[in-house]
Amino acid sequence: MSRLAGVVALVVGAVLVVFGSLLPLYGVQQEELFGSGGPVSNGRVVTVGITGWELVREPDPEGLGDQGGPEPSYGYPLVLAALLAGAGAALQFRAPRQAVAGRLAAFTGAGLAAGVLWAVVETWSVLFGGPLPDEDVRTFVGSGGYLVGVAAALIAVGAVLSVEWPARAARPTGVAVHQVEDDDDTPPFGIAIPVVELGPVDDDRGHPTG
Amino acid sequence: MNRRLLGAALLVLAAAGAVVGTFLPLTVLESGFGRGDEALRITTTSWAARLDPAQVVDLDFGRTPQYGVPIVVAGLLLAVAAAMVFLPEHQRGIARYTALGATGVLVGAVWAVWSAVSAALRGSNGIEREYLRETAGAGIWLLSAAVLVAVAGLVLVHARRSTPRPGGAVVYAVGDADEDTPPFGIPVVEVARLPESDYAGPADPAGTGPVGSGSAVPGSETSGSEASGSAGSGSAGPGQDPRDPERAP
Repeated sequence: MSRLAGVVALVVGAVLVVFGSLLPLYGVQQEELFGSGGPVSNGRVVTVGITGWELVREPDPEGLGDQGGPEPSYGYPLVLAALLAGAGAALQFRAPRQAVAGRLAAFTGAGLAAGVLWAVVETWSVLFGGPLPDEDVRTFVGSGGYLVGVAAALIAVGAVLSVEWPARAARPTGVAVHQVEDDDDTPPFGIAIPVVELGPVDDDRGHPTG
Repeated sequence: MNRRLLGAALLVLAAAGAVVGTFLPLTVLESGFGRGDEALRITTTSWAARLDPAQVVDLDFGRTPQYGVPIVVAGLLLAVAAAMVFLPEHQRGIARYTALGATGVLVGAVWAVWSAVSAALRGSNGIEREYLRETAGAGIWLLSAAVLVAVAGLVLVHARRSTPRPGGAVVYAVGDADEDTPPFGIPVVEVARLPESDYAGPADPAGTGPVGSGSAVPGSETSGSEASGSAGSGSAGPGQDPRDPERAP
């Protein structure tokens, strides 16, 4: 049962990692201001965020979105983590050796997702902890950041649940005996050939006549 | 050298390299003004940024991304995993899983740092490039090397235990179809040998010696002529034990 729960956690985590990498991980928001006599808000909020792949702006009427700027792209390692988690889930119900390989992939994927997310958190903590250029600029953790965080936790839980503890009983390695149709006469391991092990003769009986 | 021991050593080496790499420069931003040591350099590590030479102007770079935190934690986990390799066999699984997770964290963190560094290197363009030159520092290369060493150590830690060599006789199957012969051959069956008897046999009425003496084996080269005409020729005499294999035909 725990293995099934582990597989479900791995699959959900893998999907959430990929989905979360497409949404803003973190960013800033600011009310749009205009007017020559002083800044007046028009009620619109401009959001600039970083996804796992690019810089996004909302609204973006001028199409300034991603201009090939120097944004780090965290999406590649996140997708690799999702692939490892997915492979780990797919291998869980295969042969024992493949299930072991799946667990190794799941643990690696969990560590990979955690490492990337940790580095991203270190990046946004600088942004959130430092002085902002304007008072009305607000920072935020995006839905992608939350999703990747939940997904990394799910992959880690799934990897732990997929570990069989105690280990699955080993298969018998002896001779496999199959019954041939209705053969009830022959014993399972065949009919034994009598072999007499001969040792030194120790007979101190005297001859009957002597 | 034991492969697991080598793997543990590589994990420790990777951990040390990763920790040291966090203190080395990730990027070096150098101004085009001045030459050699006179040029202003902003060096960014995984912990902080500093200006060289510092006495020119005192700049506060504020807080920089602390990429060193996940990297150092991954290094500590790698060292713990290397230590747990020496646990008994049934407890060694946790060492392998710890090494896997730690290597994953290290790879993920260093990959993210690589992404940030490459973004910074791509960032200087246009007029900036004429006066500012940003290069990757030794830290990012050492971190990358630590990742490779950690992966190699991880593979070696998962090496199978060497199977013990058989102590007995080595048996090879001849061909593919030889399934009739047991691995150690067919045992030779010997007929039980009866104890020698001192019974001399009945006395010879003609005084020529015992009939059916031990040497009179029917069919043998010597007994054929010697025993011919005697009372026991051609059959077991009264003094001949029919169970004696040497005397049996």
